[in-house]
Amino acid sequence: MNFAAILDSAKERLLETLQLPLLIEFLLLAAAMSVLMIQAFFPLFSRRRMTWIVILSFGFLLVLSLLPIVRVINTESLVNVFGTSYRLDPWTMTFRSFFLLAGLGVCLLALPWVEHQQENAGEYLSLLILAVLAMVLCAGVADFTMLFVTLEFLTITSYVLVGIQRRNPLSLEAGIKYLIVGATASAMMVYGITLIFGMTGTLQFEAIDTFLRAGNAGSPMIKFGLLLVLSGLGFKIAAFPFHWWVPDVYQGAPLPTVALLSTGSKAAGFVLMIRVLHDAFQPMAEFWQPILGLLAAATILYGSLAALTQNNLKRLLGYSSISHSGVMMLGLAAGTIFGQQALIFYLYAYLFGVLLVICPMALWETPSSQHEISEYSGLRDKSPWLAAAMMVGLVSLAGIPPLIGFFGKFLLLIAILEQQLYGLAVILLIGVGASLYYYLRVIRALYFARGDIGSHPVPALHQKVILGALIALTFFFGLCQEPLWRQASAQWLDWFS
Amino acid sequence: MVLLNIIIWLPILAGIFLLGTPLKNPAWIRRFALLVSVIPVALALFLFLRLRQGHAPEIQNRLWVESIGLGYSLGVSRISILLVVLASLVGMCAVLVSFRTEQRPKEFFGLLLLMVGGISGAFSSLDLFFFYAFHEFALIPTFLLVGFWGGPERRQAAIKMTLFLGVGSLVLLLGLLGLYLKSGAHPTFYIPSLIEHYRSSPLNDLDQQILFGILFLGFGTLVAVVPFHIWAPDGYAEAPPAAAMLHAGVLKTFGIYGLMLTAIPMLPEGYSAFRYPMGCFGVLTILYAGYVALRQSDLNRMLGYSSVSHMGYAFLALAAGTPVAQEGVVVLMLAHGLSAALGFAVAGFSYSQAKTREMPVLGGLAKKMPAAATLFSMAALAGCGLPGLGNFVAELLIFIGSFKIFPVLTALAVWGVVISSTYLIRAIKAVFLGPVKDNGREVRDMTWMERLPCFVLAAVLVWIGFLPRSISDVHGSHPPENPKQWAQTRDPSGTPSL
Repeated sequence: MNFAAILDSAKERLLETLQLPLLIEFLLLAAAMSVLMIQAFFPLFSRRRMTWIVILSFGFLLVLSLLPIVRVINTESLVNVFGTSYRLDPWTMTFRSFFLLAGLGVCLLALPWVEHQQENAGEYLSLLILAVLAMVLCAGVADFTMLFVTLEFLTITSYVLVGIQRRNPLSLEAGIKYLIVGATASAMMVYGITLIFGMTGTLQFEAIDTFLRAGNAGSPMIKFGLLLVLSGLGFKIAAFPFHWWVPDVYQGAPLPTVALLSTGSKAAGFVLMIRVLHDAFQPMAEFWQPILGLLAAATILYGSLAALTQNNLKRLLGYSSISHSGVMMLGLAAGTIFGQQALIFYLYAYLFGVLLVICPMALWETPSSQHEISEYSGLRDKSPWLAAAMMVGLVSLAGIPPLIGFFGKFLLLIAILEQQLYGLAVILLIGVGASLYYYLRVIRALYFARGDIGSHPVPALHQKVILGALIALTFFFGLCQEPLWRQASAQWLDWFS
Repeated sequence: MVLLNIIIWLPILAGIFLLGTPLKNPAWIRRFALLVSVIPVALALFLFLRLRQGHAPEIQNRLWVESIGLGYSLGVSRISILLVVLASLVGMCAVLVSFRTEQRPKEFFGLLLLMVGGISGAFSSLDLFFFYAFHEFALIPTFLLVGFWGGPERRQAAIKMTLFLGVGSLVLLLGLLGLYLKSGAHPTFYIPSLIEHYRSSPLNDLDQQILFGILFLGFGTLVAVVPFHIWAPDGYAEAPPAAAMLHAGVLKTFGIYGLMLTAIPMLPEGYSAFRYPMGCFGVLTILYAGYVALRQSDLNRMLGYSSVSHMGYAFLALAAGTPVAQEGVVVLMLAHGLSAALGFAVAGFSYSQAKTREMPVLGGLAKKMPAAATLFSMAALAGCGLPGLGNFVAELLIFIGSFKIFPVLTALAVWGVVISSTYLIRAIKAVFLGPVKDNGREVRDMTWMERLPCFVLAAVLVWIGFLPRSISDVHGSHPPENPKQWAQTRDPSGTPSL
């Protein structure tokens, strides 16, 4: 056998491997297990090095997930896995890349935290990977069994990620609160699923869709079941009135977990909502659209009003996260494909904004930090880099051009105006106006106030590079929205080739 | 359209470079900022002269986000080229006026350049998205400049400005998106196509009126029309002179320009329904802000109210809509920009010397700083409408043009000239004439370097006063007599040439 033939067959093998349907999912699982094993058998292995390895593997998987060869699927026959309970369609792939990006970002911010964390670093990292795996699985859910399993997978890993600092009473409190709330939500959801199963006789989304299209959309029991399922998902995305765990959990949880909850976990809730509402309950759109609209309005108003008076930055992020959830729900309330695409773009924008705000917090954190806004007074004088990154993040979250956050709000506004939901548009503007005020308070503390800050770690060069790259991306995608918009609207198939 | 891109992006890129560079030497930073701010002036003048010679305006139109009809489109009409020239000119003067800034010069000049680039971008965009985004982009440095480099009450002023202008722009965004979404099956953000579309298939009357109302509210807040003017006097009083010059002089007129570019040509029925209210708001702004200016003891606040008041004339003229009045709006935007910039520049200088802005405590400064006194008097007399200066031409055109349509409102508006003469001449007397008081003992006059930008502004003001034809004679398409036909006589293939 000559060399060229070996090369050819190797290439063929590689292509075959790359096109395996769940390649990335299995690689994630392998990574999580390896981290656990390393932790167990080599307890002296440097935590810092391990975090870097995890970061690199997330980066590798992200690139892999963006490769055209991995993403090209035959759109006519969607790839079904595990029977019909999981399917790989363009949106699964879009969300998969999003979750890997979120995992990468959260790991970058976990770097300083893991270093001064005394114990559990290895477990934390492997749970983080498992949580990302759970989210990735959420993206392709095609029946209610799979939905429940992936959601529980995600929720249970999140409990531990929230309460991992077991010597910190706040963290424990947060963990227990999250556990109780999560369990209640799961219970409601199971009840809802049973009702739906009882009425329709199936758990598969497509079958439910067919069943409803056959003229059964009016059944009150199905409506009740759907409401319960939506409530269960509402806990995940922190929608009003299932939002009340957010501030406490955000305050108690470690910063990387906060970032994961507010970006990845929320996005997982949204992708499940899209799957349920779009794949299964589209025929009942007239029923759920107004409900989602009302909930979105209440969520925006509640989150914005409560955020106005917060003095703790983590709680402020919590309330503003509620308000952002409301804004994203508008994309669902619009009930169009465009609305869902706008929602996905907004998720990206929100991810960048949250990372830019939380990264400096993580770098600035000391064991005694409470993250009161006053602790950040005059940050500009101590560390202009951190202050600049945080300001760009806050301004982007507030939605001011030319940053990426603006374009997200812009798309959502188009989506709801297109459907003539003028009331919701006004509510959105009220929310944005309020967010200008509460984000501005933080910026004022960062830049205008003078404070005695005490001694804090100084960001190292590689951290400055990371912050700089995030700032640059926030500007770049704010001005050249096309690549990200294509990614969000799953139009990449023709773009890469 | 390389030139237009350079005019916009050179200051922005240079600003980002300044904000990020580790360079420390203030002398180099100043020289760099000055160099970068001079180039756009030259290029804008070159473009203006080309248009004046009758070259057709060039347009750049590149699709940006294809699936939603968003493009990056630039192009200048005979009105917007004047505003781009004004923006770069005032930008250069603002750099010169604050040449000796000692507090963090790198950040100061960086933000100033960002602002200049953003303003030029807003005035030369032909795409609703970038039109809006550039304006907002120019606002952020304004807030930061006021908040960091402003006077004693800078924080409140900056927060107030941010909230008012932020909410105002959001309302504006709602209106602009309305224009976008109503434009047919394949909505577009490209302004000439929008104008064409709304000309061939206008919206129904109610939609037009609602959209016009929203746009008027949004643009009105940005121009500080009474009662949405609350942010302006405080903001201008506390702002550093450079920021006040650029915002009061140039960026504020974005609202007027926006109404002329979008709302009026696209929504003729909405316009005709809002004409009378718009005129009333204009006269209210002239008179109310004028009366409040009479009561001010703080020199900069008075100038702020004066600037608010002068914008009222523009609304009156837009409401009247006759060609003469419209010509007046164009001249007013330029002349007000120059005179407001001149006023704030000199007031900033006198504050930096006398350490107070309270007029009753000041006095007799003309003896110590004759050059500053002369230049301030020029700005003030321009505000009074003295013949020979640009504002006179503008106000005269506006009064003549509006009288036929709104005789009563115009008669009331003329009263505004009396009011502004009263407070401006009183200000000259209080600050510069009479015996020298305590605060005026340790002051010096402007150096030649400080006089230079003021001379430039004053010279252009006089130029427009004597030769208004030089700016109105560009690409000579005059709008027709009937304001309702504005939308019908645009060059369909090209730039909206108002």
